[in-house]
Amino acid sequence: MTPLDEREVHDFLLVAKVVKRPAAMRWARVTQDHLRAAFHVEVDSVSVGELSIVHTSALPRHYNLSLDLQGETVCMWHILDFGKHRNKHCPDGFPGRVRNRPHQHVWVVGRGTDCVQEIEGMDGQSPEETLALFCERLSIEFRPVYAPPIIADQLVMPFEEEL
Amino acid sequence: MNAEAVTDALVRHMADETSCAFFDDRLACDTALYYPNGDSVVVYVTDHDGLFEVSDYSEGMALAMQRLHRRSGVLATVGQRVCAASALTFTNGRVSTVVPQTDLADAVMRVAAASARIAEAVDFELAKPERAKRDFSQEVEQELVERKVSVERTHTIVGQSGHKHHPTLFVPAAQALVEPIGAEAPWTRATAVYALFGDVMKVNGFSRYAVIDDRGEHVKDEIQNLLQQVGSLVYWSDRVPWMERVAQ
Repeated sequence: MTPLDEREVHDFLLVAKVVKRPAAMRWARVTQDHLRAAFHVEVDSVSVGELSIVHTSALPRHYNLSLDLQGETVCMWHILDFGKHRNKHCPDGFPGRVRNRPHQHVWVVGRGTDCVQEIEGMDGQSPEETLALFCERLSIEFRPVYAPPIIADQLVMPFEEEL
Repeated sequence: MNAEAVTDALVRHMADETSCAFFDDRLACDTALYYPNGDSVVVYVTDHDGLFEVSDYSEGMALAMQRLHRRSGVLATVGQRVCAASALTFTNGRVSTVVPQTDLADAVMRVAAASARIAEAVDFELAKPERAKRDFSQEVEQELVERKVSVERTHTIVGQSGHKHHPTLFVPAAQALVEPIGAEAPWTRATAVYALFGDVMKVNGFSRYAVIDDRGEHVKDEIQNLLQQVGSLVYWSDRVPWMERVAQ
């Protein structure tokens, strides 16, 4: 597999994508403090990527949404109330910093998703509403029914190699 | 160079970069340290009757796993070692410690530094397979070129669906699509090649070759089974007859 190029990523972000598997949200605890649900992203009924949601169980408004293509993240939203991001060696148009605001990690050639900008239109949405907005902006039809993570009853899986 | 001026500048920088704010009954302390993706390290402080629990809520490990796309025993070992070296506790990704107020600032910095180091560790884990992935594709191309076979990397083919495909390697003389598959290839890579081969099967009589790297780690059987339905599998150790055929 060759590394993604700009055209591949651009085309993938624009093309109509469908998420329908798994049909129900399955949250798995991946660290002491994080719950993750992941879905296949299909283009023309072929699974080419993944959409994942990661909640920090100890922090009510701290969660991430990611879209991957062929194993590489091409867009990521960090929803948070605290923390800053410093953009270094990013193209024109990216601010020097984003502080204490939900932000979007944008895929840039040679930089992966390390360049960040604020997400327009974010104003206290619930995680479900944020997921809907994320999917709308990235041309994703999300079919599973949203189910919030249940913080208390997840097992902590021991770390081990998982391929 | 003026040591005092540099000290002042450093203290000002740390002050500009650092802030703590309340949320519910905890403090969130945004530090002057950064994760590899440019996000600052935030550490949380909870007061337990005069003893302070300081934690990164597993953020360093979560970032590492997000970049690695899987959980990793290697990362867990790194986390344990990093925390042990800084007298911190590591629990399923969480970096934490409990200290009296006099040690709070030092504890915040130690937890933040350990969290950042865990997130950085993923670069070392990623480096080897990434290099291998690039190398195999280049290796196939290079060997074809050495046999005087013209190879294109940016060729566009329109499939029967009307979709435009971009095979990794295209040999114009043989009208052959060549997709190198290393042992690290994920299932999504196989399905992408399956879609490509399937969509061009009835177009222009294109030949479709998945070149399997059969040195070292085994390419998963399900990947090979999938691809042989829509193309020919060529094993790297047995590549010469195929390359000679393509070169004609």
